[in-house]
Amino acid sequence: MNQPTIMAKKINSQSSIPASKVQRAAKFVKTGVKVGKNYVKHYAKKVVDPSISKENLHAENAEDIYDSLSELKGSALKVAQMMSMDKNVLPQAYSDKFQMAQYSAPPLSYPLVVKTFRKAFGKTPTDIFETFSKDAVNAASIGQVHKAEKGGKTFAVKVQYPGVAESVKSDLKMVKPFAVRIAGLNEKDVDLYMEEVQNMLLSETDYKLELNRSMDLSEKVLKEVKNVKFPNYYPKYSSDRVLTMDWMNGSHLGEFLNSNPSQEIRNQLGQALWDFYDYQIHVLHEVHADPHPGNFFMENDGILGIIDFGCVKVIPKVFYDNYFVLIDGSLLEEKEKLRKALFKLNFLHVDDSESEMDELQGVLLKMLELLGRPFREDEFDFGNDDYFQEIYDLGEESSKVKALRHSKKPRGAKDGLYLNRTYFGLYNILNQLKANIKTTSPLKERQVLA
Amino acid sequence: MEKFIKKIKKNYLSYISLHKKRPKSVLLFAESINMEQKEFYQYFKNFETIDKNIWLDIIKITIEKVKAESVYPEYAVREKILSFYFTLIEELKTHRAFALLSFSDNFLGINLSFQFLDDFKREFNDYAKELIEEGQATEEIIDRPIVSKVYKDALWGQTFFILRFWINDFSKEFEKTDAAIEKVTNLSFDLLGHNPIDGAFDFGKFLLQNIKFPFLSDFDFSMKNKKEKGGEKSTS
Ligand SMILES: Nc1ncnc2c1ncn2[C@@H]1O[C@H](COP(=O)(O)OP(=O)(O)O)[C@@H](O)[C@H]1O
Ligand SMILES: [Mg+2]
Repeated sequence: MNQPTIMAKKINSQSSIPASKVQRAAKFVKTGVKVGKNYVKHYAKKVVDPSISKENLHAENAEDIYDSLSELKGSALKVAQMMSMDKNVLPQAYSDKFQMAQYSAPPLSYPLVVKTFRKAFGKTPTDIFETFSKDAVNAASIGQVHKAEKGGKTFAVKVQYPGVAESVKSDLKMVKPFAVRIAGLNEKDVDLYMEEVQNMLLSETDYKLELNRSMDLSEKVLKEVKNVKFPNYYPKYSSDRVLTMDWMNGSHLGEFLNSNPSQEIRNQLGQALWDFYDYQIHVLHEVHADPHPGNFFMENDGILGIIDFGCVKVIPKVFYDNYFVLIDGSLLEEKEKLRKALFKLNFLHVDDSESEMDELQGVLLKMLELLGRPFREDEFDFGNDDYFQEIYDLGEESSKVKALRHSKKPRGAKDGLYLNRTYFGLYNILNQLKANIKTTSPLKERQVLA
Repeated sequence: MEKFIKKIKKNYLSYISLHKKRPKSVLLFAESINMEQKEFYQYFKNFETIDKNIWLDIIKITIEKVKAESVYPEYAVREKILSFYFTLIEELKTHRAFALLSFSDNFLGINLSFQFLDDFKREFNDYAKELIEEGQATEEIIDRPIVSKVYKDALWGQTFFILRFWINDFSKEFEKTDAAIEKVTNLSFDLLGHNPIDGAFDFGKFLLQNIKFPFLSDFDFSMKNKKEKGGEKSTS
């Protein structure tokens, strides 16, 4: 992380310094603007240049696009990834890189943290806490986390960067033309997704909302789900841009795995994670939609610590019914009923030709069989890499399906964006944990109506 | 005497915040606060001198408040100047109408030299000098022959940039200005030190997103006269 106060490094050579400091500042500002513009141009050219066919673009330049796009950072990247992901429906785009999608900003200065505190509480951080780390101990996607102490307790204090909500909006405007081209959709359809993404991102900028959801959901989940724990939240020390909770011990997934936990512990943690999602999705219809490893703390006692209810997807009833009818598999054999559900979920459209529909339904059937497999068995071994290989292979295969690739229409409901992402994230963590999961789900007990 | 000066400034400010313009004449203004015109002229030549004086008050109060903070002595120079800007904006908020009026005169071309900031600038320069010396002593700011002379101007250019950014900022609670302060200060302190690219890129992206701020596209950072600038040696 940047250390704002250390300026030790010597400048390369005296002669490279323009005589006027002022001019130098101006010059670098211009360079900065140019650099920014270049990335935009470079990327736009890649996409627009007719000599680069869309097929090549997808296959060969995916990396490039990612690189260029990642210079735009933040919401731009998230949107592009989600759009391409949903179009291919499979987690092909879901890789480690997805997890890197973060706003990149230098850390907030301590004076700004002080100002934010003053505005929110009329007090400085050290007025409120006995100790308060001047530098952030962790970066959050749109803010940073400080460590504080008071009365023998340790707290995590998340402070948001200024102006994020507005920059989300302008980022999204900036990325829209790219999103349109990446997914090859028309603008009106893109708007539908964009609206969903924008609403979700904007709700993430409201820490008051996050506070309320954290307290509400964690309380409900604690009553029903075993082996999970949540920090206490402190409304008194929280505002729309500050969120205070207990400090969580334990380590994140990667580091935890390095300590060689036993199969039993990995199963227990995986089960806790599965149950956590299962309960929210099927009972609460409201779900922590960000299964990023940074949001889970694991300890050798097999208790799963969970934070970050910033991104919560509320699942509409109608969508829920149609979505899980598919996953459940009871419809896989019934072509007509399946087709009806696919219409409702926006996968198929009335103006699709019969052959397009057959082709699409064929791919979707395979996907549903595959992705829904854990639901149809009592116990599922997520450590089975063959299963994940199958998923990736099918992703590849489906990206070659004409009806999908050349589709000018969106395939999939907007409400599916975050739910798909949630499942991909969940599967991914369970795979890394190599966990064996009892997938008993409320779904199996209830009679799903078509 | 101090009492009268205070009274004049206070009433002048409330007139502006109410009417979004200056009083019609000194005569009318003096009358409205039960004062002889003659008396007014004892303290101020005209409204412009009040303006200058109010701007001077603002920066004086700012510096006083910043220095009074208990963490201030622990701050590195970069943090001191950040703290100065944040406090300055807080002070200015209560006089937004006055500040807008000061700047809008200049935008209308009535007075392009921003003279109302003369005393403010002098006070700032003193403070900047103090900070630069401290920064050089702690090696947070690298002392370079020839170049060091203009550090002060650079800091002033940045201050002026922030003021104008705030004038044009209509975001919620001026959050954009907070971001601008962070970015421009990080940039300048990167320039005073090592690798300038991080700050430049971050600031560049920020400018791109805020290109609608009309003055950004052709902002002259130095706020100096062209001929003065031409006199300096440049290797760029
Ligand atoms: N209560 C906490 N205890 C310890 N570390 C925390 C806590 N809250 C956040 N962190 C650290 O800060 C990181 C970012 O916080 P998080 O709330 O997930 O932010 P974001 O909403 O941006 O993802 C987490 O991944 C974690 O490493
Ligand atoms: Mg997180």
